[in-house]
Formats: sequence, C-alpha cells, structure tokens
Amino acid sequence: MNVRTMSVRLALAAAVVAGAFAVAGQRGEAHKAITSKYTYNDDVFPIVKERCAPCHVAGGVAPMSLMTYEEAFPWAESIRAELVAAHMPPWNADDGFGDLKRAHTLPPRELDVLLTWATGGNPRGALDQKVPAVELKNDWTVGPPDVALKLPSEFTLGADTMEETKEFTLASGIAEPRWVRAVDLLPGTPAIVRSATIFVKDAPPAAASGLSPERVLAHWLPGHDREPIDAGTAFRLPANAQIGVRIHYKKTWQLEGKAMADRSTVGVYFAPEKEARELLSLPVESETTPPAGAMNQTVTFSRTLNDDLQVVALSPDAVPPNISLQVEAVRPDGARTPMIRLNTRADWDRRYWFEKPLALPRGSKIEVTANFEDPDILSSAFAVAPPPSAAAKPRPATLKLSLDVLPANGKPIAP
Amino acid sequence: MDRGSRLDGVGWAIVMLSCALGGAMSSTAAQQSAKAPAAEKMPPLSYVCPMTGDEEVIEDHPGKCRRCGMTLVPIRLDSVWTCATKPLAVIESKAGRCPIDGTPLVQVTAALSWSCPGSDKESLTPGKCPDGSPMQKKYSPRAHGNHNPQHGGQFFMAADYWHHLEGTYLPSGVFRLHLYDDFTKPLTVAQASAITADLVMKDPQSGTDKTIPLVRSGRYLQATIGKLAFPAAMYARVQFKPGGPKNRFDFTFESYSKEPPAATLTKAPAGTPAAAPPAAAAPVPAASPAPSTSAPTPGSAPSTAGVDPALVPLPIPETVPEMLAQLRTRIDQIRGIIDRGSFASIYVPAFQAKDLALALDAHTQELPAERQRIAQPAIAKLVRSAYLLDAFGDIGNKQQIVEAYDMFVDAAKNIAAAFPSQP
Repeated sequence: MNVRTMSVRLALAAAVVAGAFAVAGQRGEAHKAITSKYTYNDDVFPIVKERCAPCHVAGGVAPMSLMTYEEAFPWAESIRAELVAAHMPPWNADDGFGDLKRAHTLPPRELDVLLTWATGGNPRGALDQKVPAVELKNDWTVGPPDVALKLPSEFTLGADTMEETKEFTLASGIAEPRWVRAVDLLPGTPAIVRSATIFVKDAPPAAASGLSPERVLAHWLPGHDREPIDAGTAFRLPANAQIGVRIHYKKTWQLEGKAMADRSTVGVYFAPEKEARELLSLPVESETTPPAGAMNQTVTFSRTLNDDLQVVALSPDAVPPNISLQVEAVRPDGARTPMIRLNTRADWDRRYWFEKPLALPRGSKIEVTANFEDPDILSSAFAVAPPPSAAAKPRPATLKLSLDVLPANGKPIAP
Repeated sequence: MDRGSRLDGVGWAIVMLSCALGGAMSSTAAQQSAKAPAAEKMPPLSYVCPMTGDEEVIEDHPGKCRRCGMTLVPIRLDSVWTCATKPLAVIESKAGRCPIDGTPLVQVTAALSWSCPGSDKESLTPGKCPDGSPMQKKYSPRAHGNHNPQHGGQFFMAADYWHHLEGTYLPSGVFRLHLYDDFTKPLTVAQASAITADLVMKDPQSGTDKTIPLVRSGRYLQATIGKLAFPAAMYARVQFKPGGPKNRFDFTFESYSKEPPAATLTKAPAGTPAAAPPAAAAPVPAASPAPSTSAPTPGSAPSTAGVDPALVPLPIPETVPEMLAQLRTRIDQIRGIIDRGSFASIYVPAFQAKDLALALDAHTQELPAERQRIAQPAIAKLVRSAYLLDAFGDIGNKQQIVEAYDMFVDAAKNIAAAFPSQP
C-alpha cells in the first residue's frame, strides 16, 4: 500500500462545512491508516470475482491475480490508479456519450467500494474467513461452436521475447457460403493470448459508395463476451474462405524468461436463419494526422453518407494510443447525435456496438474530432511512463475508423 | 452514506499513518505519564514495515512487508493535537491552544507506546516499571503523520510521496520554499542541494509570465519577488533530482506568511495537563530549524486549528432535490478552494459530493431507462473525479486540479440533467 493510499479522508458533516473550510485550507491533512469500512473478504472479493476473474486469476492473462487477499493487497495502489484513470475495467469509451451495448464499466457503488478499500488501508476482514477458491475458466463463452478450427501449428513465444503479434491463416473448409452469427477464440495458453482479430482474407474491393462486406469477424479480448450482433444480421463467410487470425501474444512479468507455446482454436457459429442482412463496412478516414510528438492538436474529419443507412457498430481501426476521439452523426438538418467518445490505448482494440441501430438518412455526416493531447491526466501528474508497447507503437499515417452498417431498406437474403 | 471508518465499529477514532517503532526520531519524542492505564482505551494494533523507506506499509494484521519481506512490527497509531512549532511536545485529545506559545493546536498522527524512565524498552500496553511506578506514555512521529505547515505557508506532498514542501511569501518580498522529508523533517543541506527549482509568476508591469530561479540558501530555496498585490498567485517548478521531472506546485497567498512564534520548551506552563514529565528531557524535535527572516509575531496564530473534517460523518439529505442542491454547493465550494489555492482541503467537499452522488445512485431506479443511462455513468465519473481531486490536491498542481474539477463539474451537470427538475 502506498502512502497515497493513506490519504483518504472521511467526509465531514454539512453543519461544519463552512468552519472546516476556514481551517482546513491552511492545514496539511495527515494521512490515515485503516479507514476503509469495506474489507476484502466481505466487500472487495465479490466484486473482483464477478468483474475481474476472467483475467486476474492464477494462469490468467493479467499480471496479477486478485482472487485472494494475499494476491490483491500488494496491488492496492495500482488498483486505485487504474480505477481512477478509468483504465480498468478495460473499456475505452466514455460511458454516457452515445449509447453502447454491454459497457464494461463498474457501477458507481462498486467503484467506490474498491477505491475506498484501495486507499483506506486495505483491510482483510476476519482472519479466519476463507473466500472461495477461484480458478481460471477457459472454455467457449456461448457453448461449443458449429465449426472449430485449430491453428495450423503451435506457436512459441521465445524465452527472450515478451510480446509479439503473429498472423495465421486457416482454411475454413466450409464449401458453401454461410451466414455467420459469431466467431470466438479459445486460447490454447490463456496466460499469453492478449487479444486477437479474426477476419476473412482476400476481401473484395469496396463499392463506389464506399461500402464493402465486413470482413472482420471478431475482435477477441480475454474475458469478454462474443460480439453482440442482432438476430437477422450476420457476417457473410464465402465458400472455402481463408480465415486470418492475428494474435497479440504478451507475457506478464511472471513469465519473463520462459518460452511459452500456444495453439488456440477459432470457433465459428452459424446464423440460424437461412436469410439474413449482411453487415457492411464503411471507412471514415482522415487525410493526414499531426506528426508524432505534436501535442494539443486537433484533427477533424468526416464522411458523408451516400445511402440511407443504419449504423450498428464502430471500430477504431487505425488510431494511435493516448489520444481522444469524439464521433458524432450530423444529419442533413444539422441535428447532432453523439456516437462515441474514446480515450485510445495501445491494447484493448474492440468493436463498439450501439444499443440501437442509428438510422441516418443519405447526406448525413459522420464527424470525427481527434484531440492529440494525452487524456490521461493521472499518469502525467504522477510522471508515470506510458507502457512500452504504447510508446513503441508507430503513429498511423492517417486515422481510420470503420462503421458497421446495414442498408436502411435492405432485405434478408441468402448468403 | 455512512463514511465511518471500519474502526468506528469498535468505537475508535481514526488511526493515522506514521513510522516504525524504534526509529531514530522515536527517542526524541515527548512522553507523558500514563493515567489510570487499566481504564484507558487504547488505539488498536496496526502492523507496519520497519524498513526505512517502507514506513507507509501498514496492515491490520501481522505478516510480512509487501515491499521488502521484513516481518511487520506492531504499533498503536493515534490521532492527537499538538503544538505546531513543537510537534508532540504537548499532547491533547482535542483542538485548543498550545500552552507553550498560544498558537492553535494542530492535528498529527503519532505512534503510542509506554516506557520506563531511563529505559529504551517500549511496550504497546501500559504496565508497571521495576520501581512500581506506572510506565509513561510516549508519542513518536510517523511518516506522513504531520502535514501541517511549519512556517505559516502552504504545504504540499510531492508526487514521489517522499518529498514535502512548503511555500511562504514573506513581508520582505521573499518567496521561500522549505523542503521536508516524509516525516516533515527539514531536509539536510546535502539533501536540499540536489533540488533545483524556479518560480513562475505574472510580471506586475507587463502582465506576462516571468520565471525567477530559486536560489538555495542552506536548507531552503528562495528568491526576492518583490511586493505583489494580494491574492498573489505563483507556481514553483521543482526538480527533486537532476534529470527528473519538474513538479509543479501552485501557491496563492491571501496575505504575507506569518512564522509561528519560535517558542522554546523549557518547562511546560502550569495547568497543562499534557505537559511532558521530567523523563521527557530528551531533545524535542525541531519543527523548523530553518532560519527565518521574518520577525516572530507572538499571538499571530496561523489559522491551522479546528475540527478535523474527516472525523464527522456527513448526513445525507432525504430528498433528491436537497441532494442536488448540496451537490451544487459542493461545486461552488471546490471552485472557491481552487481560487484560494487551499488545495489540501479539496478532498472535503469532493468526497462529500461523492457521497451525495452515491446517494443519488440509489434513486436512479426511479428514473426512466434513458435517464438511467445518463445518470449512472455520470455518478461513476463523479466518484472518479473526486478521487482525482483528492490526489491532485495533495500534490498542489493547480493545472491538474482544474482539469479534475472540469471533469467533476461535467459529471455533476449530467447527474442534475438526469434527474427531472423538481419544484
């Protein structure tokens, strides 16, 4: 527990507010020890078990388990910093701007419980109280897939390599075109599989409207549900498709110096319907970006829709880490609808699905404002160096987002 | 929301962080006679790391230090009131006046133990000495146990959690930066020599920023900045080690800083119940060995004493409109604190606002779904920004405090927008 964790001071009665301010302004407040009324056993464990166990468990992809008191309390200061900076749970969207499905954020009370415990002395609770053992779950999140495709060979992350991104190609072996509802990944070695993008290779060029079939079948992240595509909507998997799997392997410090092998499996879930509406992709791209190192600059770019469309999801495809992005839909009459506000990070790429399809008439604009000032005020205040992977990631030449859309009047068709 | 400490449940006041038993400073602490030990209520045992530099590691149970692996040592931590200029020379259980120099008492955290005259041995429980006399109560300083200004200025902790500093603006037109360690002990000349800093302020003539190097003079840094109109705002950029980051500390002076009277403790005044017994003849830790150029002003007490706001639970109003009204009040209070530069107290209204927001969270179920989707993220954002204000308030960087405040205001605005307007 860091000194800072002692700095939580309990609040005072409204009755003494005015008087207290008169004196508190000149007084340095001493740091206090165990001030948290919440204990690990009674209050913290149920939250971390429910919210953090997929990664923060022995053998998980996170650098530490939080599933016992002994494992959790040394990380109390990190827990505070990650929660206050909104780095954890990993959900880069600003909840409340736009209406997104399955926001992976903590309810306010749970957030307060964790912060109070992390900053208030990290009490354990009754010493003789044992919390239930939590083990790593590594299974298909929605049951066995219709088709399971194992990576063609085992990949080994060498003893002297901490992280690497590796691309594999799988033959689907599916002779007919099919509608696909979801694609999932089952890590062979969960401790090193940090993220994966699964896509159809050899995509055809986009039409003049800019629309093309959505080829990214899944952005996979540990501990997250499969992508929440609506019924009646599907990805089109061409006959005998080649499926690309780009996996980001990353070791934690505990695995440093060890060679680690993985052979993950891709699971394909077919849509139950014979006819479906195909998910299409529409890029929104800037012409240029400020040079690396340019701070406090803002870039605005947009795309005008040539068709009546329903926007169902959005992916930040090529954006540098540690910037903020705001996306709004501007209708022809000037009405603006917030879509998403993101604080980008080096990891945790995903596709963000809107709670309801956003119906936009032809002529609407998707307007993107990118601010290159690092939104993480906590790290800059405490001189925390950015993660090496964030610092090393080159800035893309242009910024690119992809919208997942459905033609407004599109009818379900056969694949 | 009940903000009581976990210790409230066992009827104890807040305990505070301090240093390991047996540290060098312990031997210099004042002692008091134990009074009716059997009937006395003791602070609970905590367990701290004895390793220098790891003093802040503290647990509520025995075990190993999470940093260095050393066996934790038991300690009793207490929150007491003492003289600003002579920490722990006088111990009181509540606010009042220092019997030595008449200044208001300040609150500090200290380690409590018992010992016998002439003996180095310390006990965590009262008892009898070999001669049959009761053991004497002893209070020792703890790391981060005293964040009170020592020179009537504004006191901050650095982002490295070890350095502390205090800025004063003297009637002679001098800005002085006093440098301390985590015990609020002035740095040695050797330690201070590694630190460089400058001061940025508005030029009264041109209105533009001008940077003035702070020159080391013994244990502190200073520069003559002349007579400024009040409130006088400025910030120091401090580099605690060569090549390290520059830490910003914002100061706003409403008036010239007034040094507390330089009292000397030779004999406690009569009628002082907490006066040190003869066994406390060991030297009293100097609060501020740094010389002062300002004349002592007896009786000109810095406004440092008062009720510890942290000890009083916050009553939450019963109705949503009252909660929202109090939330608006907190916004104004935080703004006022920022304007006055009293950053160390920002946590008070910030955490009150957080508790109000959490109380409002219980009412979000009464809202239609689309308003819940506005309210809940806004409440979570306010909780986070309250902790940010707390963190930034400690290190005294106005720019970051204002950023956190903007986030706080934005969250509060969204909370208010989510709840239907009330008559």
